[in-house]
Amino acid sequence: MTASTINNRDDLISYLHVAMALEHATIPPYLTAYYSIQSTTNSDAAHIIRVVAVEEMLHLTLVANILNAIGGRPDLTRPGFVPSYPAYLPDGEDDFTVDLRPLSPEAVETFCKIERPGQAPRADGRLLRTPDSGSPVLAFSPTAEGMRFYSIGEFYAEIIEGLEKVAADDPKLFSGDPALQVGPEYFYSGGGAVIVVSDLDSACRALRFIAAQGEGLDSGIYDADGELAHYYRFRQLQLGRYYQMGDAPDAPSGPPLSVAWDDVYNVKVSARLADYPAGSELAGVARDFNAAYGAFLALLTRAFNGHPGLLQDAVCDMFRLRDGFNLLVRNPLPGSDGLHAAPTFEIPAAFGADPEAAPAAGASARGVTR
Amino acid sequence: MYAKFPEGAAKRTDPTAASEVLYDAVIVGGGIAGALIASRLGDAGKRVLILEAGPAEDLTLRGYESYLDRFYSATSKDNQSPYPVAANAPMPRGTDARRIVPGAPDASAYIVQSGPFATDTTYTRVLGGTTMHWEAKTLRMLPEDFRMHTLYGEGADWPLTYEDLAPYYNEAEREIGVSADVKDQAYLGMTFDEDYVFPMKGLPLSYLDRMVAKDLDGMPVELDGERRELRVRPFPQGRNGIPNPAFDGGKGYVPRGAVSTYQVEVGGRCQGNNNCVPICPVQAKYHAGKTLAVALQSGRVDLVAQAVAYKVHVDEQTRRVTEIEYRRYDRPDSPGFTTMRARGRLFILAANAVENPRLMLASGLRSSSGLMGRNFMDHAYLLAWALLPEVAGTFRGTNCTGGITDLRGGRFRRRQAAFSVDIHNDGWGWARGAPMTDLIDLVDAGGRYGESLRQGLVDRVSRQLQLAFMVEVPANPSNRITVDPAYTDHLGNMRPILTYDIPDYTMRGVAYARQLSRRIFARLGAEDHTAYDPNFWGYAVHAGEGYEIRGGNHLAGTHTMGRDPSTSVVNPDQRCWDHDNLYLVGGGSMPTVGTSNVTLTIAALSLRSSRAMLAQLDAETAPITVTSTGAGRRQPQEVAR
Amino acid sequence: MTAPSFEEFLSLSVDVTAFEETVLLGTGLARHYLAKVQAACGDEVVTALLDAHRAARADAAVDADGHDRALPERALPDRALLDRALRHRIFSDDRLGPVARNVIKLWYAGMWYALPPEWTDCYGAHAAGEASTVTAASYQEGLLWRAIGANPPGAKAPGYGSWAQPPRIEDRYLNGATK
Repeated sequence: MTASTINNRDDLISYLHVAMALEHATIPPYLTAYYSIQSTTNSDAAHIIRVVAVEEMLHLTLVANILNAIGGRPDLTRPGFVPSYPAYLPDGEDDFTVDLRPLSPEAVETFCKIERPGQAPRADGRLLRTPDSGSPVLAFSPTAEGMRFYSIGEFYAEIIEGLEKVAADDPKLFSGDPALQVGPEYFYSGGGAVIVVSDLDSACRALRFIAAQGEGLDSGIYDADGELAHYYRFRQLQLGRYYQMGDAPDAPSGPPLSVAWDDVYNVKVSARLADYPAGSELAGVARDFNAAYGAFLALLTRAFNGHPGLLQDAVCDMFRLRDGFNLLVRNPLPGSDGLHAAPTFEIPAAFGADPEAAPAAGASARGVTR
Repeated sequence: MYAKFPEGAAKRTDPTAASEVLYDAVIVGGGIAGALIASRLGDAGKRVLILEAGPAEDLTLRGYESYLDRFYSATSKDNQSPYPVAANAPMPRGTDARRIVPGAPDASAYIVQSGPFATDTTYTRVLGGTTMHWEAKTLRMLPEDFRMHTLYGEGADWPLTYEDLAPYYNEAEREIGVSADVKDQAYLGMTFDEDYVFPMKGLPLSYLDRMVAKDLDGMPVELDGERRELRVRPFPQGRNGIPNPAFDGGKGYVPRGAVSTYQVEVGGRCQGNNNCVPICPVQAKYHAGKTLAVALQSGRVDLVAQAVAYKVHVDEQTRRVTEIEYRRYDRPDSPGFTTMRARGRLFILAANAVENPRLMLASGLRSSSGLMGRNFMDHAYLLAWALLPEVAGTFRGTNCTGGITDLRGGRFRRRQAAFSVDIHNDGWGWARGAPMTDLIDLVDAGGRYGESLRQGLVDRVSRQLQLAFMVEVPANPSNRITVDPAYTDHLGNMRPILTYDIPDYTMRGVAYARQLSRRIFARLGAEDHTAYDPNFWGYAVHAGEGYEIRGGNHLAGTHTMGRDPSTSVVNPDQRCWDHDNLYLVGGGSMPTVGTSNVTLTIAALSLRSSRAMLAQLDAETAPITVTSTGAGRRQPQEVAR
Repeated sequence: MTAPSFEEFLSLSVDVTAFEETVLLGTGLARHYLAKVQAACGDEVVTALLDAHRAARADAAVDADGHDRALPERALPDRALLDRALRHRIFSDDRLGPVARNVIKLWYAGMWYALPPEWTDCYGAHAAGEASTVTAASYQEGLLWRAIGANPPGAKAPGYGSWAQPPRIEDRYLNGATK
């Protein structure tokens, strides 16, 4: 076992900021695949991806609750909070990146890798050296220079251990304002409810929930609530069949499902604003989308800083972003051989630094910028 | 959490094998009444068979989405547009309604209408029944609705009181998952248990409601010497909102999501699709499939679909029901069928207030009271429409979030019908087919295109206000369902014949509603565009004025309950006076409809009756002698408990 | 005769609907709609309609100083001139007017309405001319709903509680509505 990289409250806060960025960073790839699906087609794939994306939002909210519980200040408006795609994943492979892709076997492969159950092969293998390439890394250690994690699960395992250790040393660790907590009345979906965090127990429950919902870390393909882990949800798309209770990981036995890979808008992979014809109406729409997404992140930041009721508005924002997303992906992108446009998630810097939110949490932003 | 529909449950019960089983209960109809009773009997360890007329398809997310696709693709988006038409289990459609020429019944559609008044009433024959397309407005009945005769000398008294039904209203509200706040719903004598909260918090009023409320609230109305002030009030709704953490003594409430054979995460909070009728695209709205799915999970509830009940067989000595003969069709649109039978200790007809008496009458069972099929009721809807002075953002929200309920009760009911008023978030859709008719008119007649069309649409559509007055119809024995061998459907089932007229009592309420709508529009500064077309199929004249009257699909009254077998068909438990082991459940049992959409009350009555059924099953422990009506049958197989 | 040009159909559609090209393409249905109009009316009529539209734009073309008849390719049309030209060349035309109105309704409702009987009497009926939806998606993409700041009932949900807020309708249309 390597020495813990979390030794005090500040370390924890740094880690939790990274956790928020990590949870968020999976959302644009999921949404890109989801909205590339043509209307009234691919019901199975659409539902599976949508649910995972919604649950990533839940995870984001849970991490915000933990951060608030220990006196941190969630901030989704920091420069670099949204990574520049393609971005590296912490799965132990240096040549593998996450792109913004249309629904495709490659996209599903990536999603499985994002959510892959991953325990390091050796106990001391949790932390790996970051690759030297210029691409950003999603889960890295904010406190141990140049190190990243074997998997998202290992990253959360590190936080849980760190939390337990720091809490043992610091009885006042959970001194955050309870009014900042987002309660279950503000956010619910089919897949689990928000956990209000007030102590070590609830914090660990929230973290384990995130890890289990993502990849089924210790609990097999279903979690304690009967929820299928994200990894296995995506595997269903590869295996062509739904899981049901009692199934072995590689042998789902539920109803069959099918994916119509061609009923998809073939959007340009990880499109950038620079790919759009300068000054075109379409470029304006793409820019407006990024601005609206930035405003959405600013709204979430306010929701996580004492205005939880705003989450209701954030859901409506998500629905409006859906309409903007759909509009873009149905427009051909001129000069790209028949590929279609897609949001670029290049968030304008002017957006939204909320005066109430914390100043950028130091080093933690580093890993998600180029 | 989604409601898991056991894969294959719609087909797994072999009707031939099932006919050899003596079930504890055989239920006709897989709508809300049948589903609730099946779930409660199944929970208590009883063996239940549901016969459903609609297609034998599992309730899956994909199947539901095929309803949606059918809706999206339909040129007419009426109540039945999402649902498959099966010639063998025909559904009445709102678009069937025709003006009736006196003396010439309209037999062009499934329900034969002999008039004099035509109605556009509908019900849906698929698993889940009419709750698939219901609006899910879940008003309780007022305490005074149960005592109409005593209080106002009009209509009938129930053999039950509000207090008797209140616990079952609570249970129904839990089962359906009602979003409402007690502070908004405790009026006109409706009381709630101390600390009662609805499962979910009330849905917010629409912007349109608020625009109306801004001017309307406080409007004085004097009627029969009683003065009251009107206000816009939120309606309780059977759709998922924000769970109330205080529900169930602080245990909270977990909303029930979509029905599916595999894990899905839809059916959470209402998203404002403005399409409760005919189909909520995300199953945030309750439908009986949610209850049915849970009932089928027990393994004690069997389902045979594509099974249209043909005849109720009765033992001549004991008058007990021995079996239900049904016709099981092979495919929804081909004429082939097999005659089957279902046997049980108890039989429960949970079709609806048209199909229940139709089946009884087709079986020659007229009730010794002679009242089977009589006292048919619905609500009579009067619409009034206007343009508000400002843009109100019409066409957003659930179909209806708020309305005026102050005239649901009061002394005036001595002489005229009460009503509840809906503010329709879908504008003049019901009255005039908005907004498509506005579009066509602006383009074709108005010469609008481009910017002027966009401006015209905002001016014409976004200011629309439609008030729907849901007027009470009292029981009248001559409003009735009958059958006649001259009118049969594809399977040879006798079709329902409806004889219906709107009583003067109701028309007085209608006339008052129109008068009140004029006052309301004047107070709001709204342009009244209401005009009733004499050629409309539901045109009715009262005191020299003509009105368009529409039906509410709130079917009731055809086998009313009472304490006296000579003046009612069923007892307060909805058990037939004539047949000890037969229950007729649903709106047909209601002696009055008051001013509530009937489904919540149907649910409460069903839950109450399920207790009586369990008590009867437990009391009748002695083996039952089944007098066989056919030859050469094997002994009924006992079902292991 | 050449097949009707998609680009010209799009340009006509922008002028008669007052929605931007990206919005029209953003429905994903523009090509379906052109095919629908062709199937319902025949290529000859569609080509004539697009020709008339091109001519109307040429009528309305003004140069940078506001003089008309600038080079049609680059110039912005004068709105009033274009309106007049569209009315004269298209909307008042027995053959093209009803088709243009149907194109508008197609975009706004996602539905093809049958042409008036006097039109089919004169110019012929096509099998695809009956009232019909184009695809299951076309109803959802009707521009009508966008114009009134609402969602098509049953699709594109706006989210819980959104209905309590004022509608998102651009100010320039709100002002017109107030008496």
